[in-house]
Amino acid sequence: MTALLDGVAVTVVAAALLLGAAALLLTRDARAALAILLDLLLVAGLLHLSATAAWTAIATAALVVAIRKVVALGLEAGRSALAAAAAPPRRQG
Amino acid sequence: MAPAIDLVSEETLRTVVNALVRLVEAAGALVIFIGAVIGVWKFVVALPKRDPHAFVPVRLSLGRYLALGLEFQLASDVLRTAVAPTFEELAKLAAVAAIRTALNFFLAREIAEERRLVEESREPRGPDVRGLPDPRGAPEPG
Repeated sequence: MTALLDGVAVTVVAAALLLGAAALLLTRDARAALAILLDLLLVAGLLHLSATAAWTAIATAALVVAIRKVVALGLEAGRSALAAAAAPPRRQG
Repeated sequence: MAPAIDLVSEETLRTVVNALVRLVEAAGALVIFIGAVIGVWKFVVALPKRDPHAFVPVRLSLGRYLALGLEFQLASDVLRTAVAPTFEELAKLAAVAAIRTALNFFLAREIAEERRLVEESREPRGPDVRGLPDPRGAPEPG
């Protein structure tokens, strides 16, 4: 069971890297590509966590969750800043 | 003094709970695995469209599977607390349960947000979206 889940987790990591790269190449949208990559890495982390309850697996899963949130917040902040910079300035009076 | 009634020995109880934990945790892992397979397939189908918005429903679907799998795994964590004998095991259990609970919370929020985006994109737009009058209902000028 543990070996099977670990094997599946490694396969999901490979799929995450391939699909993330393909999404970046085809859409030229880093946010969408990162979202795919992190979603699938999260799946792999959860499968690995099911297989082994070692501290390293726990730390890895927590790190992926934290990175996922930080990257999402960072990209959202960057997009908001770009949108604000691109918007025409308000007229006063 | 009345003898203690020993319906189920502690060893039997431990064996039964461990079997249940394995069953429920395997169910959670299976749900996550099925979600991953379906998600990867849908991502592969959505990629040729070259539209980042096409990934949103796929992520929504994957998030639902993840949330369901996490619910199963949290149930197995709760079951495991019944038979966790050492402090080390309890600490690991607490860490894993905290991660899964936090993840479930964030996933629920993301699913709600993405569902709102999908519903907004599906809403029908009025005839004046492009600034053109509706030819059927527009009154004659003059």
